[in-house]
Amino acid sequence: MSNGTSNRADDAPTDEQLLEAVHHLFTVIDPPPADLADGVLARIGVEDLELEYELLSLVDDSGVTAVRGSTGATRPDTDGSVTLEFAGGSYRVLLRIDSIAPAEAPAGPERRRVDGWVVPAVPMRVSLVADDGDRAVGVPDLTSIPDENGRFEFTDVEGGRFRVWLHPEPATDAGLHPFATLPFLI
Amino acid sequence: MHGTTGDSPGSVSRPAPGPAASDPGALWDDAAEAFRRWREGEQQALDELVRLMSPVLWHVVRATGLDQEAAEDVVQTAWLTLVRSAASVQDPQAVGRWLCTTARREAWRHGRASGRVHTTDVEVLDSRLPRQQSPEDDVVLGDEQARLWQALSRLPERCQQLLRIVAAEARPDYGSISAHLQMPVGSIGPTRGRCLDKLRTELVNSGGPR
Repeated sequence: MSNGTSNRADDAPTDEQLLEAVHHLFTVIDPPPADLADGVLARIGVEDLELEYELLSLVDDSGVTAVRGSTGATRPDTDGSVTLEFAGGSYRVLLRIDSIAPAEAPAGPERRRVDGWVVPAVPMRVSLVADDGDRAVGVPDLTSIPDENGRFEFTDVEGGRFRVWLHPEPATDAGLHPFATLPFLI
Repeated sequence: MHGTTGDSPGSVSRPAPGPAASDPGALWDDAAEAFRRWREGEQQALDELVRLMSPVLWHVVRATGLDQEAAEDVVQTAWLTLVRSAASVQDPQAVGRWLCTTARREAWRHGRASGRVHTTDVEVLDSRLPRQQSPEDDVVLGDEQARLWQALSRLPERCQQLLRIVAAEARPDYGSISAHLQMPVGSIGPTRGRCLDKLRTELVNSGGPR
């Protein structure tokens, strides 16, 4: 130990020691709240839910018998054409689903053509994603890039339960989450 | 006032290892590792990262002078910024620094917006000094720490602020603190040195018992 009478350089704490002591002082007199990390995780959890997607709900299903709600089942009427309109957030999506004539698609499961329009027509990627119970394993997502009028198409889709997802380009709306329609039957 | 200690007046007690100052390298490494795993899809790794870095961010934010409630909010905001823009952290190794810098900027922005920043919150901290301690108070400063606190509070405000900032995050990004402290980047290092010298002098002057 020193004699405690002088500030001799070899007694004095180094800069690093002093800063460490200051840091430690503040950890003692100003500790973080015990639930700081839990609060952060809870807030991130809420954010994740919001970030997942924004739902586009069915606002119109002209000329068809539609079943609304979570099943969202809509079958084409006899002339084989059905129109669905979804809206939510800042987007509106119109879908027309047509049966493909048997000549073009002979035997086998029903096949459809989907023509869509999205408003506003901003740069984005539109995907048609199977939404069957087992996450439609093996059914690839179909992707379409809308033209400058917001028009997109999926020319040959095997019937089933789907959602349309809109993935706006980040440059259009920074940090934007995707949008998804309610599931519907094609 | 002070108890007897065997240390020389100029010395300070060895602190217990604190996460930020004692071995920043190891902390940054752990944070980087957790961040990498999280980006690769391991959800649990985000928990680890949050628990590891939140106390550090707390001190970084409190060092800017925000009150406790605002500080908690700012820490949360810094994390949300990370979650939203994880892809913009180009170098996972730098995630610790990225978080500290983001939190500090957000704290200053928040402080300006709400007028809640005080250059020091001496009143709040003074209430925790040992002279007011009660037997059941679990925040009891040791003699050395009380002496350090008193020495610190005799420094010019600017020194107090700078030292608390650089103590909260070892080697912070000077660029992100220079504007707020109205100090050119190049003078932060020398000022830090002068403030530490003043602190050493105050510690010696406060003497303690001979």
